[in-house]
Amino acid sequence: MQVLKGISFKVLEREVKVIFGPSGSGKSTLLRCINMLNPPDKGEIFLRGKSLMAPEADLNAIRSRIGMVFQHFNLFAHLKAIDNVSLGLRRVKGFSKEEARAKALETLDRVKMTKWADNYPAQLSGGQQQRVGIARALAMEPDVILFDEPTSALDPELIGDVLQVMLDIAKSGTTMIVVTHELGFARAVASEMIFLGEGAILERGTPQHFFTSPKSERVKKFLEQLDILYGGHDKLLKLSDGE
Amino acid sequence: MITMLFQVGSEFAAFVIGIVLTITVPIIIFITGAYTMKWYAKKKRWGVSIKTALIVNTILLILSSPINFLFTLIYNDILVTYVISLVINITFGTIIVMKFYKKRFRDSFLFNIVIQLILFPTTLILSFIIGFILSLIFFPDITVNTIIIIWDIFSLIIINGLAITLFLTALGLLGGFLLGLSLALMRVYGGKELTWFASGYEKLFRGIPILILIFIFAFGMPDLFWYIAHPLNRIQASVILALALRSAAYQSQIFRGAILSVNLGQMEAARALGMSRLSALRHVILPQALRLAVPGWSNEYAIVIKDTSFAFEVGIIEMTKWAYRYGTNYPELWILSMAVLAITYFLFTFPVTKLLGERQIKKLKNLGIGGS
Repeated sequence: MQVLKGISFKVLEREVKVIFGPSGSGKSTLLRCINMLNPPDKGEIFLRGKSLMAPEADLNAIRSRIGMVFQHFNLFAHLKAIDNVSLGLRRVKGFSKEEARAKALETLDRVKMTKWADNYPAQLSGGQQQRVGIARALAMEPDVILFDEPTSALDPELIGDVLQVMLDIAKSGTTMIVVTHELGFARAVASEMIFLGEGAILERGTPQHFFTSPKSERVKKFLEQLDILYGGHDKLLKLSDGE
Repeated sequence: MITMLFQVGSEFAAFVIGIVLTITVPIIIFITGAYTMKWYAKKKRWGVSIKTALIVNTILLILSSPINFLFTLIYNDILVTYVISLVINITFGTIIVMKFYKKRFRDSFLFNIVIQLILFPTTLILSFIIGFILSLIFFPDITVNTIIIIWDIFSLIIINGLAITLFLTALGLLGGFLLGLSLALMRVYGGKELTWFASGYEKLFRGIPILILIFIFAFGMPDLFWYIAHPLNRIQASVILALALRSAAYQSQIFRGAILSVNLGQMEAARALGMSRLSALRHVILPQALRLAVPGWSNEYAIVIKDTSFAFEVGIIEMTKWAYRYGTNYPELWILSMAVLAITYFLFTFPVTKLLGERQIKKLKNLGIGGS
């Protein structure tokens, strides 16, 4: 079955791309193709001009330059938060124990998790776990970080902290590709938004474009739904006016 | 004559002990029974009053005491009497509980089974303790002698046999661990051929009794360990090989289950960091899988340490062989030496399975390893 059809886009350095769309439209698959967790059957993916699909490409080295933050965090359950962050540094980047620890602490500070450095994932709340997950990706100093619905498994009251951290690192100039339905986040930092529907790009443009004048009916309908779900007050008011 | 605890010379003293036992034990059973019944009735939400439990137990005491006494006279054997009184108690108990707790036959029958399951061992232990104290009073020399004999057998088994038993167990388990883990990795990550090989191996070695494996390697292949000088050490090596090969078949299952129950996302997260498959296996999957395998593995330890007792069939002098020697030298002490041997094995399995099994499960739960 073909999941993704004719998708082509470029991500420039320091850019934040937000991908959104209905479930089953292939957003996650797209991300997993980009870091070759699900290698695509056809097509080309380039990272700094080098094709990932080339037979001589070293996938492990490439993946170490593409960070990934998962919907269900996927923290290493047997390691403390700080060891979760330093594992990749030590085993992939060849840092010494002390270097890795220092770097991990520094990164945990960026996501405001230093206080919980010695806790195991099971002792942390979902939002804290996700912030460690972000630190784990961030510590590797990747060229780009992929976020796969980072807040959709969180309780509403925990989303704010994670989004704040994402905003901070976006503003510090990290290149990001984010699959999310947090339109507030998109409005704040997205350089471009891409609407995926049934495996194809239905519409793309700046946040301004999407929030004021989306072209396709499908996108309009989807945004209407989201607006209601995420407390778009204007929309709710209009509905009650109509009645 | 000096050996058996209750087989005593003096008819009169034995009579006194019998009388004291027949009086004290029912009283203790009556009290324990009432409180057990109250506890269980409360747990089942049948009622909380101790009064009902006391009434039920009083009737049971009045009904079953003469019958018990009769059977004691006929058979003159404590164990037989207890088994008969167990049946009597369940039969009467069911009817009385039906009447006083106003429950259906099936419920009160099950209720009584549970109560008796608790009471029966308690009764045995209690009468043993009371009998022991009484014989200590009436025949101090015989009783002390028996204790010395028990200690004698125990120290003989421990001093001479324990080291070799633990040696066989440790090496058998270690060999089984290395081979079993490799087989498990083959089954999970290997291609079709490796999977076939590993599962074929498991099926083969799980289907052969350990004694036959030991016979094959110890006597059937005398040149298998030609480089070991001493013939007895050669046989030891054969036994270890048999234990390891068999244990590997079981340990492979344990590790396969453990690896498969590590969350799939863990591997993905490790790969996404840029770790190779092997590195992810080593630093992420195996540390979790081995933790998950500990409870199952402790069970395997219990199996292997008990299976080392088969080594005595090929001439290795370990714990079983020492108890066997003692028992054949003093046939009247056969049951005692076997009991001491059984308790010794139990002492070396139960604490380990308890510690590694239940405590590890709790620890894993706290870490959230395994499952989704």
